[in-house]
Amino acid sequence: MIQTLSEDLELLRASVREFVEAEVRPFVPTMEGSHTYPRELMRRCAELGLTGLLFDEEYGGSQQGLSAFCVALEEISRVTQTLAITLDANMTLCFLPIAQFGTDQQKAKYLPDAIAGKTIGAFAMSEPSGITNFGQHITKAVRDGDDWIIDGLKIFCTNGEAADVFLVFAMVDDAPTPTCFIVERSNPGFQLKSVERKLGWNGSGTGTIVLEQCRVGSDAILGELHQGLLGVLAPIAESCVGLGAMCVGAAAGVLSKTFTYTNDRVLNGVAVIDRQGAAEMIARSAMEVEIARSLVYRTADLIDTQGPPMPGSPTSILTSSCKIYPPEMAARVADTCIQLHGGHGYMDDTDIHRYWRDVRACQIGEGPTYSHLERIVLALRTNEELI
Amino acid sequence: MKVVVAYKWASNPSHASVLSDGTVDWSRAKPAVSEYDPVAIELGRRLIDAAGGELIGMTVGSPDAATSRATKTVLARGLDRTVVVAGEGLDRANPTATAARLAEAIQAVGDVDLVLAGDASVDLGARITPALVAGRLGWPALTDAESIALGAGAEVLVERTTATSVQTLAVPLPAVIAVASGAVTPRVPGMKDILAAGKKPVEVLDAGPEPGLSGSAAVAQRAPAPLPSRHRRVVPGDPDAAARELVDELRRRGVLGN
Repeated sequence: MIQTLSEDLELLRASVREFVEAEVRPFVPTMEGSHTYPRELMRRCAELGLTGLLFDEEYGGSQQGLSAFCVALEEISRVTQTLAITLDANMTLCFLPIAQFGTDQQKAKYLPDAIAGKTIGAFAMSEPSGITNFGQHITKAVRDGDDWIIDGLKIFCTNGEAADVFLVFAMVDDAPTPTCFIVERSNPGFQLKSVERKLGWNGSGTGTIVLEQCRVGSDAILGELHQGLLGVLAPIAESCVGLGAMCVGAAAGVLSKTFTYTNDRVLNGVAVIDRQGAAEMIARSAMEVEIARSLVYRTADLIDTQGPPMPGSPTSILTSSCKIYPPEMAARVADTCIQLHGGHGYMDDTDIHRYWRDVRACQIGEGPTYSHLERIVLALRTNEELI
Repeated sequence: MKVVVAYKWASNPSHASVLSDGTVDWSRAKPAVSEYDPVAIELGRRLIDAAGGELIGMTVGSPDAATSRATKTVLARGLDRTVVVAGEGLDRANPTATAARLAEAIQAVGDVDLVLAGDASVDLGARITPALVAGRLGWPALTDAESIALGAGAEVLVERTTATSVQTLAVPLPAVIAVASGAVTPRVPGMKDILAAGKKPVEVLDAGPEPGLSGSAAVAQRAPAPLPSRHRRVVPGDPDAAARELVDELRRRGVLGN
């Protein structure tokens, strides 16, 4: 790794790596084998200040910005993307929207406990009909005096198994776009229907939730009525960069293991890495990891200094690129690493194919690749000089 | 209470490699706080949190030990401030010379009640520097401490495990104590610890001339360690018979008991 970050961020990287090696790596077999949600590790993330990196000191954060958060996500992902995605979704998809668009009362109510690791958050937008196919969404909210009554169903909620706070998107008054409600697990009518089994990210507690006559107060609306999407567009950009950092970490982690293996593995008197074809695979993978790392931290730095980009802006090309290139890169690198391990890469005991399974989700979450390609075209149409 | 933790900013030999000509390539070994020293810092932090006072880091090393990265790394682990005795080549000084400079710096700090050190430095692993510091200061020295608690008056109660017993020793202060490697689990610095470390005082002392070192050993010559002689006897034939013969041979040579 070529170090280009500030001294404090490199010290943070060293601390997170120490934490991951001592406390996270030993828990991976349990998390992976029995799909156990890493609640205690999330609490430890809070103790180390990782949940507070994006938030103001007023609420217990350290306001170190997206670059610092990416360092944490990258280092955790070297060993497991599962803990990284639970941390990323918790902060960027639930509590960051509250920080950016919530009222003072909402921020005071939710942020201190979230940053202290006492509460977990989740994002509930997807429905069986699709994430943005709002015309077909069945989750609706109606007024009842000063309260709102929500009925519906949400799927693919990362952290859904453990979350205390959900951002639920519901259709109101036949408006074309949804309203965002802050729903607590303790609200009457809230139910966790099931925890899903997946290809990877075992332990991230992906839940399906049902809202049946779920009553919330008038102060539960985040942002403006019918304008729920505005409240998540900016944090989604930050989440995309975080996902890119997770892919850099996972690719670096599996490549590091493979580098060691190909040095140690001698076939017919020759170390695998000394074969020209294998050497080229390693070199190209290392190159791709470093290219993705450069993209992620350049974009994070731009967001830290200029704020999150709106759709169609020049910086949105970079945020969407973080959602396209690093996930595709990580998939290629993980696949290459299986190949370089031969049959051992296909077996459970080397723990190589776990990376290959985990990183696949990154091409889907936070908007699939094709939707981000469309966003890049949108930005180019309004900023032709960028080409 | 004033507690000094002596630490070393050293390169880890596991990151170095031995070249074909027998020389050691240290170029890939980045310096870091010596492996066992965070244990001593953690124990010192807990002691100060219980007793009140100040926890001071102290090291003798190359100018690299005085860089912001080096000092923040140790300060983030719970020290209140740190003192660095810096000079070219001091990271490679022998334990006697290092102990002499540490003792001088401890006296310069003044009114120190207790000096803690890690079990061993990661590079030399001599395990003798704490005793040498104590000798210079005329203080009692103790190694392998697994816990340290405040005792009655000017003493601490130190627990350590020997081959046959667990001892609790009342050690009069001031004293120098080396901490067992597994005494406590050191804390992992969080973001706020790192940010706070940048605001803590760092005192860099010029190493100055080498202190008088009567009795200091110097390496006069180095040569490869002699290879142990081996009998290299191969016992051929049926495996069962060969195994029996091997056992008999080992008994004849006194390796196995009869």
